[in-house]
Amino acid sequence: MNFNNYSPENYFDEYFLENNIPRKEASLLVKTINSLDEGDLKKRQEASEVSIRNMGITFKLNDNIDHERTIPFDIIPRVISGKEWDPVEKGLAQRIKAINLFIDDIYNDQEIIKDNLIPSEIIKSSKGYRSECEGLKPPNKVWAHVTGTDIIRNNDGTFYVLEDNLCVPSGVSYALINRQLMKRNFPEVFQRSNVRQIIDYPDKFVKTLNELSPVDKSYSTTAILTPGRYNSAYFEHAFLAQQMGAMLVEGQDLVYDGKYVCARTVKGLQRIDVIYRRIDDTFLDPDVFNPLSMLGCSGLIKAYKENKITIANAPGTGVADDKVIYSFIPKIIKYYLGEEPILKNVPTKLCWNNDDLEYTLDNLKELVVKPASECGGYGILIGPNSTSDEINKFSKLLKKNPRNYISQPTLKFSRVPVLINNNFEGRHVDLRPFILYSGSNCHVLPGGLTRVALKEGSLVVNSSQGGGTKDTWIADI
Amino acid sequence: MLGRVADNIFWLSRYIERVSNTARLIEASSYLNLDFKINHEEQWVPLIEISGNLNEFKNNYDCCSRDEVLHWLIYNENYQDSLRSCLIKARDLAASLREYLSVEIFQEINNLLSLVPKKHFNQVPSYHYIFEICEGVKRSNMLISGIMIKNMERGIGFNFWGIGEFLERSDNTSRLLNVNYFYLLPEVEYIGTSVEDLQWSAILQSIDAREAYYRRFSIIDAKNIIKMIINDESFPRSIYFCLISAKKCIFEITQNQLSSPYLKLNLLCEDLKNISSEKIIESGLHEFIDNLQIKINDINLDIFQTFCDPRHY
Repeated sequence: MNFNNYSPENYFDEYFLENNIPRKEASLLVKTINSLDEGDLKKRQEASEVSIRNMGITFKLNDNIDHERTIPFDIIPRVISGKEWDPVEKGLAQRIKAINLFIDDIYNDQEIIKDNLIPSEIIKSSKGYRSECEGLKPPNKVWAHVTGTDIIRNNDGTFYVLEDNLCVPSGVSYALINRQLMKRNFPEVFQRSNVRQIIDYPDKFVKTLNELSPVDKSYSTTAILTPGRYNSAYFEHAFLAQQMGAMLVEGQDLVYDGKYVCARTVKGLQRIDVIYRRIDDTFLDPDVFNPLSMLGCSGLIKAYKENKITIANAPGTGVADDKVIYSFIPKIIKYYLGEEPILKNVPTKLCWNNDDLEYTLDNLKELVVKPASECGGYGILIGPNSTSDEINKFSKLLKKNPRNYISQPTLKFSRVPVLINNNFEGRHVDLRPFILYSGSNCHVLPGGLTRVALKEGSLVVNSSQGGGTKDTWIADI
Repeated sequence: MLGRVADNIFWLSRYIERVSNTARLIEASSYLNLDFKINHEEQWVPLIEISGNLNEFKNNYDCCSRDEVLHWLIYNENYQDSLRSCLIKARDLAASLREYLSVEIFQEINNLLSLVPKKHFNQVPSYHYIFEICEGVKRSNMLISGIMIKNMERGIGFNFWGIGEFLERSDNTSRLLNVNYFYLLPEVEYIGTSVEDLQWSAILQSIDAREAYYRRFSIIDAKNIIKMIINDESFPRSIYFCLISAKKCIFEITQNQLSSPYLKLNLLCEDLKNISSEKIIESGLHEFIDNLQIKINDINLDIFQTFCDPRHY
């Protein structure tokens, strides 16, 4: 099995240059794969799949059937050279710092609105904006302790940020497990490629949270708040709890004793100092948000306001998940840090704006149009891959609610070889690195979760719509 | 440890133990019945009666032969304590204990469930497959216990697992003693060994006590068997031994503070230690067992109320 018949075609291929010569960072891998015995690679792939099944690493599809499936994993790793990654890392750190300053500002003094950089209506109409959070001052002014920023490479290899996920970003557990699988199934190449390690991520996460705890870090208690085992990402909640030594709690396990939020343990009430919550803002506290929520704890926000507990990520952080606000991030970076953004945004048009709306409607066939606040890849129109019927329907949606949409040129994402049956074929990928921020420290996970659009020609990478994953190597070769 | 998690561990341990004991009972009965040339209904019905579900059983089937009884005990999801029902509940609990249990236990429980796929009563397998199921279940149970003992740190979780396992075992073992009570002797008496003796021997076999018993007493004698099963201090499946072990686990959890379930268990152990098998037979083995089960059940409830009940706070 070899790459002789593999072609990058017209895309930026992360393994091969246009003339089919392997890139420097991928050449060791290509050489090794080409020299493997017939069927060897397939065996390693299958061994990985068995491990995944045995570990019970599943993801629930959000349909009505109680259906768990394993996320398809592809054994060919994605490789990025350390030299190319370093500016991305700096760019991500810069971005998260600015976003945190932005969120703190709009819930407090609102200087950026007063200086007319962003209209107040855009912020107030963001689905994640919480008026209940106005005036709040979380420890170190950190609102987004952990962020998952989605990045792609265009056909000239430039990295672009596709979106920031600040509310409850998920996927790091798959990245950590994929790394484990690669060490087990491809150890020889792994070692010689000098890959940057990610194994200390849980540890770094604990340290980040401890820095912002209301009590001394040596006895701070962290809990992970999960909606429970029927949530699609439950595996990750349990995995992280285990890796971080945190208590895995559900709303029913928590109680507010008038001063602190506590967990009901066998020996009585135990105080929780930091809560890493994997539920949406609206479910956190029935006294403040949705009164029907059974997933949260009454009194949690009261304790939070009194600085008796730290909530990561802070409620209200989801305001910056909005894709309209995304388009302002370059301006936000310049405003708060006085710096040019290191990482580029994809050029974005706001349909809220009449000229942009007109342009978008006229060019639907070439554009990607996204709703401001959906996740999972739903509600997106990918112009070049759509029928005229789909385009007509979408155009009606757009006219009905223009504030809700942004449009971007269809980028030809980079591709990486994937093992399809017994051949190598190129598939589009994106990348989700995770960024930990404590105000004084910022840690960017080297690499992150590579998501693959497994369907030929598809650009949709989300696991809920059939995407798969790969391990990501930042290689200092 | 969260009260909810402790409760889940307690129940998971109980279901795993329950499943193993049901398999043992089925296996021993199956071997015994192979020695009786005629397949009497009366031979199988006691297995239902010891759990007190005879009416429920009769609502599900037209008759009580081997196939119906085995289907009920192994596959029927209408019966809450069938192997399949218990394992479905166990898998559910194990899934909610992901962050706590080692992955091998999780895998083994999935494996257990795959031993008893859904089946209709006229698809009940032959003796050969039934024996394979029982052996598989026993082996899985040993493996899970072994993983717990070798890998689990001796904290609250380990001790809740222990309480569940030991209390369940003492309850299940007591039900075994009742089999003879419900067993109607067939008209033809076996020449040589009495049917009752064979029945006792089967009970000993099902709790792996047969060899241990013969090492101590050379012939089957109801008094000695009752003594061994109820208040023996060194045989690990004796009811007394299980209750003392459960008591120790509770003590570990509360760390020397005396709790209500501990005190109740202590009392029960004292009673068992001092009673003689003659006394038990005199006042009626069946009544003795019923009383014992009521006390064990009360202790189970007390454990929930003391450690796990959310209304406590």
